Amino acid sequence: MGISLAALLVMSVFFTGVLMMYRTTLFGNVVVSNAVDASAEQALEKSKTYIGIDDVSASPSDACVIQVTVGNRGAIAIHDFNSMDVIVHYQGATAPVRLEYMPGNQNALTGDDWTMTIDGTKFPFEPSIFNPGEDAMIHGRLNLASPDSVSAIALGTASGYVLRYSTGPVGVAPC
Amino acid sequence: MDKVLVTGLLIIAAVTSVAVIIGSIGPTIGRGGQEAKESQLAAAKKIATSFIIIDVIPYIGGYPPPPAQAVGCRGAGHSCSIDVWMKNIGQAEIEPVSDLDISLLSSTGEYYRDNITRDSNCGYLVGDPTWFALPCGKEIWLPNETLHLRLNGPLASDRLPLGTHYTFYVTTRNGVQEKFLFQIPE
Repeated sequence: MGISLAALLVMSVFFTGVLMMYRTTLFGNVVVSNAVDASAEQALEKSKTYIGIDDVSASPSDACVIQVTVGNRGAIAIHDFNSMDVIVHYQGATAPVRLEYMPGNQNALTGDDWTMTIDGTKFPFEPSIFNPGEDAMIHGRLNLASPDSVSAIALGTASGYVLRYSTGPVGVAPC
Repeated sequence: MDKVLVTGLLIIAAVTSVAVIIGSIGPTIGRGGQEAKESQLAAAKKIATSFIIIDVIPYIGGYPPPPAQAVGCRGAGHSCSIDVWMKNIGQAEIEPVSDLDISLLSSTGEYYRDNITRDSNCGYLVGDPTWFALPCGKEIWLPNETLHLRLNGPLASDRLPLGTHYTFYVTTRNGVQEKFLFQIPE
């Protein structure tokens, strides 16, 4: 009887220790597993994202507005334009700038901001989402003190896809 | 009578042993478990920490707009400042931003500055290259957010020659590193 009780006590201590360790390990495994899953999902999304730049030019009507023709050549729809990055390199003395996203049309731009338009007649499907297969135009209004030339554009998406595109000199001037 | 006595003594011995074992091993198991948990949390945080360097743009000419002070710029022909934009594409916040380790290495290996000094005043320290985040004092870098860093270029004794190639390294506090190759324009 005494021996059995002693054995039971020792076993209970042993199993309590094992359970404590198991609980800790299980908690850590769940946390790590969730992080790995999220990371893999992010990587997958990045691998499905591909935006091509077809052309960069200054607007014929506004010399301070650049127009970047882009195409979604990937396999994922892009809708979070607010998380995208448009960075402009200048050839001259103007400091490089990251343009802020402005929802709406190009007439609402005020300076060092950008918006994206998708031609609804060409691409009527989900007009405010940049779906695979579609082309769009980024309008960027530049805040310039003097005439300069844009030499490159960097375009980034929320998934981490980045395209640095050498535009050649694109002449721009204050509005 | 003897049997009862022996059983009683055995029970007392067992309870005492268990108490001694719990008292001595229990805290060790607890500490070990806590450390294992913290280690796994750190590993998970590291997996969840991810960022990309979108662009590194050396700027030559007049000094960039505030908050940097327009002093000490060496003018055309030498790099005054390097603007860096990076995006947090992970699930974890990266903080504090001031703990980022910024390094610059030339392609030839002749120029190397590790752990470049952060200037908390977002100004322009004379003597050494410095960096700061914009807006000045920014400390928390949220997921999906783009962070703007400005590296004040080396001064007179330490200029970056035009046309040379450099690799810009950023390392977070938990050891996640990204790098970006760029060229000082000719």
